Amino acid sequence: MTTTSPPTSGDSGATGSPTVHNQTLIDVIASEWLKIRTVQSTWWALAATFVFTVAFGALLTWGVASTTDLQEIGSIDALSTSLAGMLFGELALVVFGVLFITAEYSTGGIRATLVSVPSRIRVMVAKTVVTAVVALVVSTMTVFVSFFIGQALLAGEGLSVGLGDTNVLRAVVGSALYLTCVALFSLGIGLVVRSSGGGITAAIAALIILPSLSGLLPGQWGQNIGKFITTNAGRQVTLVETGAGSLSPWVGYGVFLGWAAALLVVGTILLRRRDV
Amino acid sequence: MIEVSNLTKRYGATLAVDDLSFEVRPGIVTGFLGPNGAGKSTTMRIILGLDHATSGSATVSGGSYLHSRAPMHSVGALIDANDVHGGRTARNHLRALARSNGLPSSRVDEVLDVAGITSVANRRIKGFSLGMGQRLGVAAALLGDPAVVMFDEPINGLDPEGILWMRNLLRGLAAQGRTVLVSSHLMAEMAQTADHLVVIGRGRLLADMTTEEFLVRNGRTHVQVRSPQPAELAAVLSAAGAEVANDSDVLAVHGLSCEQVGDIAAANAIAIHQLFEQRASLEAAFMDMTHQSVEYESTLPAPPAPSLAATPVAVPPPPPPPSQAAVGNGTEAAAAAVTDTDTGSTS
Repeated sequence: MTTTSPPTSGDSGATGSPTVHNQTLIDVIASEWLKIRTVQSTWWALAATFVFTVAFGALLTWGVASTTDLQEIGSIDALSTSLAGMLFGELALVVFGVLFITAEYSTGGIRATLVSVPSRIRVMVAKTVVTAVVALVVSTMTVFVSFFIGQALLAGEGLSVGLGDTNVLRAVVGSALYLTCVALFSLGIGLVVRSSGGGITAAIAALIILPSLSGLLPGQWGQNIGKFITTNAGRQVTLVETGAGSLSPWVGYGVFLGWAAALLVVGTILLRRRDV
Repeated sequence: MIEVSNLTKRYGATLAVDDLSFEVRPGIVTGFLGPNGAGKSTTMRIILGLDHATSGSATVSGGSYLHSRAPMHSVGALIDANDVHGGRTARNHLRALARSNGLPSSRVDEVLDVAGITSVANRRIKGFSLGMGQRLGVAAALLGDPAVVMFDEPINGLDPEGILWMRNLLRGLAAQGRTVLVSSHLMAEMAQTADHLVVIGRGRLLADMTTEEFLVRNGRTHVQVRSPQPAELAAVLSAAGAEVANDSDVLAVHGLSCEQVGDIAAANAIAIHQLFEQRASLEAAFMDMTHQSVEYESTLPAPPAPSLAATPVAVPPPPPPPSQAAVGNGTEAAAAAVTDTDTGSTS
């Protein structure tokens, strides 16, 4: 710690050397990718997504498979049973998505980020891309492993389904896409709320509590509203057979993506307007 | 080059920056001085686009920092050394910053070396001392080989060796032709480091001049004389045109030199027990200047300084020798000197 000499780079910044590199979106994405890889919470959240989803899915499926009452088993949804652990993965991805932005606020790192990348839009596009790619990779692994373990457990009872069966591949891929959107939605909420606790609470309320409460809305009017609410819309793509009165799988997923996109856009506008 | 023009920032009812205008030129170190809450950090945050100006503008090299195409090459900033994710290692923190500006990872090793923290590069930042954190902040600021360097209170938490290092670093950066703006609330430190001073209080510009000029204008001196016949002496000195403040048997004389005071006393056959020149420290001058603009001022009456005590029975301790604290070393020494030598203006 005794260095006393100033930096000795070849070109003084004051002279505007010809080798100056103009910042690009790719630079920012690479930086965000490096940032997310170099904090522990990322690895905990992603490991939790995989382990909880697979473990709880397998446990539940094993429970169903070992039930001897054939009448009861006769009506099971083999796909949803094998993916029953997804709710836990969903919670872990909420934490992952929210923390990716709120940890910057709680540590003050957001100022370092915005000084090195003054364009707020670039920062948020980069964070969105990194969140989407990381969540999609982890979700796809998680969902397919859960699916195959579950189906293997059910196969002994002759209850399993295969990827070739009607709508099954769509539902498995749809589940991975659904979880990815949960992470993006959480990133958007975190950006608007700017606090880890508040962001996680708000995301759980919006993704899990509000959708189930919407069933209490009265009449046809209530049903029409309810089916557009976040996961009520998004969950259809994860099911082999969509529920009566629900949106169709891909329309529903589009609506869910729309919610996430709206939050990210509103959050980015706020990021541009607010003092940091 | 940094240009701040008619900058105003209002937070609700609070006016943090009030129609502030100044320029920071390349090739010299410009000290940005003011008491806490004067608006220094707010001004720097506005320059970086972190806060939005209510009105007016702040530009770097002629444009808004928000539109900088090579941000870290344009400005290297140290705003708050704590603004980092403590879970990352120093090296990874710097790598991420470098990557965001397309800078080669070899720059990371270079700045770690300049900041003298190569040995702790692979440690997590949350274990860093305040001084190490400041050095990491400096390393981050220098990554992009910036044309403009802006440090907010960089010597906070540095040990004496670190302060010397920082002083040399700032001078070296300026000597390379960079624009260097460094804020501080410590006048004495800035007097040693900065070539030019921008002083603000309550968000308003109080002084914008070379350090030399500031010293000449504000380094006031007066004569202190102790006599068993203070009333008689005061009378004759006043008659000679001096401004005399009479506190017990010590007189503070403005407008006459030591020699003149001694000669007048001798001519009038008044005994003198002590006679010396007192130089108000730069810190005291700074406090005088910003006195009206201190945001958080203690409302408790300050304990009376012993040498100013008006009680006739109290024997005043010998006053300190003429103070050179303004150019002294440690900041604590300078702060202590304020209470010792600021004889006229307090209370």
